[in-house]
Amino acid sequence: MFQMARPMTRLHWLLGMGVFFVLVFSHLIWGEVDISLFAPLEAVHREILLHVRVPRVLAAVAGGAGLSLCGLVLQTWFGNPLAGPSVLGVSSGAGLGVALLVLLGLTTSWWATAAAAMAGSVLVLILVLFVAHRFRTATALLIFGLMLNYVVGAMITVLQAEAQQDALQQFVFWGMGTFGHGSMATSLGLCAAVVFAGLALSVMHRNLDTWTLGPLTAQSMGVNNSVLRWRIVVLAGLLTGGITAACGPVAFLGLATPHVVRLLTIERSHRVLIPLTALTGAILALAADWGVKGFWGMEQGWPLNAVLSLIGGPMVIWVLVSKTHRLHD
Amino acid sequence: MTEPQSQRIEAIDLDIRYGPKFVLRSAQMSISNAGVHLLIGRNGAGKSSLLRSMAGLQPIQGGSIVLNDRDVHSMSTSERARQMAFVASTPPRSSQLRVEEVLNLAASSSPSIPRVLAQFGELDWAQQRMDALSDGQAQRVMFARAVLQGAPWIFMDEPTAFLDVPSRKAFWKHAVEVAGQGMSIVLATHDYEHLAGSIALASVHLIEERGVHALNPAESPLRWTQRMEG
Repeated sequence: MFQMARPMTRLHWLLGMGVFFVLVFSHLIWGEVDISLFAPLEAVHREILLHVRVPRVLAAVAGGAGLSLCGLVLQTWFGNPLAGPSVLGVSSGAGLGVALLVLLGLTTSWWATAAAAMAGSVLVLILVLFVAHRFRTATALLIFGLMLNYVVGAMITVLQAEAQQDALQQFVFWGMGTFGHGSMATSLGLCAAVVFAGLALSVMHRNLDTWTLGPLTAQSMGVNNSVLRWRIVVLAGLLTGGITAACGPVAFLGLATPHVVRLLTIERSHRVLIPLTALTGAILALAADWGVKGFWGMEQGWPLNAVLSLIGGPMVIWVLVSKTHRLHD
Repeated sequence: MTEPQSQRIEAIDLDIRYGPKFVLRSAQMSISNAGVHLLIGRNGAGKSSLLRSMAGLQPIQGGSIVLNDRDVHSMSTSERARQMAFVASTPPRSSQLRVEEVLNLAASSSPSIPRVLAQFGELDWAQQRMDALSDGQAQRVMFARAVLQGAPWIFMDEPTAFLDVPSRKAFWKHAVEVAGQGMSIVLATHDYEHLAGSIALASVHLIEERGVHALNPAESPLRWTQRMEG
């Protein structure tokens, strides 16, 4: 009775991995040219795989898993099902970092842009985490995040008005959001960052569970709350910043995935939630990317953020309608 | 459970203030040995602040809290957790962990979990989610968790404030049992009349603006209320 093994979870894992690999292979073999799995690989197909499809799949997997982990850990920290990197302004912070470098024409180095995006994310997270205790309801925090988004958005608009034509074009292109811009190197870097963050969060799973019992209780049980908070700031900030630099601002994925996971499983311990959220986030990103690439003879696909907002927007509304009544303690 | 042993916690020249407003100024207090120790006082007198400071959960602005010759506020969080457990006034309402998972987080040895859960609640709560329990049930789980932490001291901040009368009775029954097993329970509560009738209290302290006063624990609780009224 006190064993922690759950056959349902194992089934979820098998199904999830199955869907995941089907999606990965479908992205690798289908596209503007179809690549056969069975015929020997032609040179041009090799090039397409190495320079287009594999980086794109890796970026989608890392972006989906990473943003979803950020959403999970922010929802846990705030005890708020509406938290997520895009709604709290963390993605906007990253955007501001990118805007400063790209629009002012300071550098075109990808790694400098990523560093600026990470700095922007971390700064916004510090702001949010250190004022959040003043908000008594879940929706107040959400409104604070939306206002941050407006302010940062306005700053970016001012920068755009002042920018050179080609820098502006580059920035607008980035701002539409896609998994398809990265090179093999950036995609692999992103994957490494997400694997590192996932492992770091897994090490913290007991502390995250304990945190759900309340700050005082967690502290009395040996959790160092300020260390936990700083780890969350750094991990969520670096993940959101890196992913946003590589893929553009990606809406709703971080917020929506943990809810999908909670619908799929009755497990709530972070030992299970962390890997399941990463897998589900990767699956959702790969699935959304089919909408972006277009399928079944569509002329062209839809922008990534349009696809994600079509899923994520209704998800927020559903959470607002069904869950927030529990937060008014 | 810990062996009954000489345990002592002291507040020395303790200052607690929020901004410029002092809640306690140069307060002195000493509590020792097993049993139930009461902190009583009017609303806003500083019971909760004192309790949280003693448990090392709230910074102090002057003086010190000393547990068996060690400064509580210079211990690490995990070191403190081995010495002191804490039960807050409200049970967690948004945690969706199962009861067994919550108990596992605290337990130094998991075989004792079913026994402690059966003692404080019911075994079939194990698979329930915390947010599906009533406040009374959840608070008893939080108490069981505090006991499983294995610390010799348990601090409780008005743990029955939100409970109905039957839940309070059940809660105090467990507190009396735990105190009888050699643990020291420090309790801030307004609900002392019922408790004083069912156990010999180890100590009673009245927290007032003028300071902390030790009262006679053998007295009738009515006298304590009179003292509180001034």
